[in-house]
Amino acid sequence: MTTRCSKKDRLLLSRYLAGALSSRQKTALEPRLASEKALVEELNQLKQTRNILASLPTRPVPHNFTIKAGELPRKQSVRLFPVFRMATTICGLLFVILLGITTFTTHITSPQMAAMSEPVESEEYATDENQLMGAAPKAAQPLDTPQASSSAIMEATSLPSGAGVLTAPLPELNQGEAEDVEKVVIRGVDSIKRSSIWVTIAWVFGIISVLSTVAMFYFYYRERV
Amino acid sequence: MDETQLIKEAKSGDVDAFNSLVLAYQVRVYNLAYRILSDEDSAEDTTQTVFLTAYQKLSGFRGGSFLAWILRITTNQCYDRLRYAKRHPTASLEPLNDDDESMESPAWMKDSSSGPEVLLDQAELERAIQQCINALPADYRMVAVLVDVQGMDYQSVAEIIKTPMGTVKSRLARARLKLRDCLSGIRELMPSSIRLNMEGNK
Repeated sequence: MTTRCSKKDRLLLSRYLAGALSSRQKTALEPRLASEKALVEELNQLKQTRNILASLPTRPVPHNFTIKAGELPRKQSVRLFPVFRMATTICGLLFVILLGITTFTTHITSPQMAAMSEPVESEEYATDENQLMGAAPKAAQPLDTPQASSSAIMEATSLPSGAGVLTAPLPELNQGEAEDVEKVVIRGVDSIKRSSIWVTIAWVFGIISVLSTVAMFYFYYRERV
Repeated sequence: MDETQLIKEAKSGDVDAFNSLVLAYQVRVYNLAYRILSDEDSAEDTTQTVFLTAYQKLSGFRGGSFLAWILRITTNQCYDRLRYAKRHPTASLEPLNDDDESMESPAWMKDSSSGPEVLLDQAELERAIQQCINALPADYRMVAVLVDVQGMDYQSVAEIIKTPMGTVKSRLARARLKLRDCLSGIRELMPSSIRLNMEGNK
């Protein structure tokens, strides 16, 4: 049977010759090759094309391309200036952002702490400090007395008695008030601890930024030459 | 001295060892560049650039086929040149079709006054084939030259042009189809040696 080879068949044959057909496509094509002369002819022409290309002569080189040591261009080293410029920018930004956030959050929490540190002048709540300290051993017990709750607060904040924010004798408080005070103090201390970590991290970035700036200028002048 | 040893010594800065590699591969590199760029001067410049680049980047060679690595540099350089040529077109003396591509038909080669008895010598035939190669899109041209002209296997070509093997086969199929159409006009003008070769493949 002789039929004209369609464009689709031609591509199929070319893909067949290039080994780009799936096994299913190949199985479908091979019986057709046995019966369709047009396909065989087309395949032969593609094979001829391949042979024509293979017959192209190898051209001799116009000269040897060997290189001489003196002619070699200087090996291009990795350019470090852009790296340090980027590092300076990133670290500088992080320093500013972290320090800004930390300062902002400290200002928010400090009024609460300031409120706690204000000495209580009312005689109604004035208590002898010794009496307050005397209540310390009872701190392990449930917070059933104002004295015990005050001392528990002192322990919870891990601050030495009479030092830090609690400079004045604590007033006698009922249990609910004492718990509120305890929560506020714990929150305040946690906040201070957290902010001090972020301040440290911010300063680390600040120091890296400064060092990176120095390196940046060094490589700028070195790589410019 | 074997290739691995030469590469090792070249990496440590031995220019003579590198030059031994240059002498071993310069014909392959030059011919690949010539077939893709179709210009002797461009092929010469490209070959020189390829070897200088190879020397500079030799520390980045992580083993495997050195030929594939150097031909990858060559194809990249050729792509750069083709892109540059596309951006900075120059007037061609060869006929163009309606799509501003070189004519696939080699009719321009025929001398109507001489008749069919005119014999094309080897240089003219080569020029005609090269003209057909030039008419291919760059991606097809790379694959056709690497596989059919340079005789490389699909795996190596896939490695050189960093393309899946299926894509290589597909491009090759399309490239051969275009070349077949282009070359059909000069088939009867082929030297007897090629024609006999063709007959043998039937």
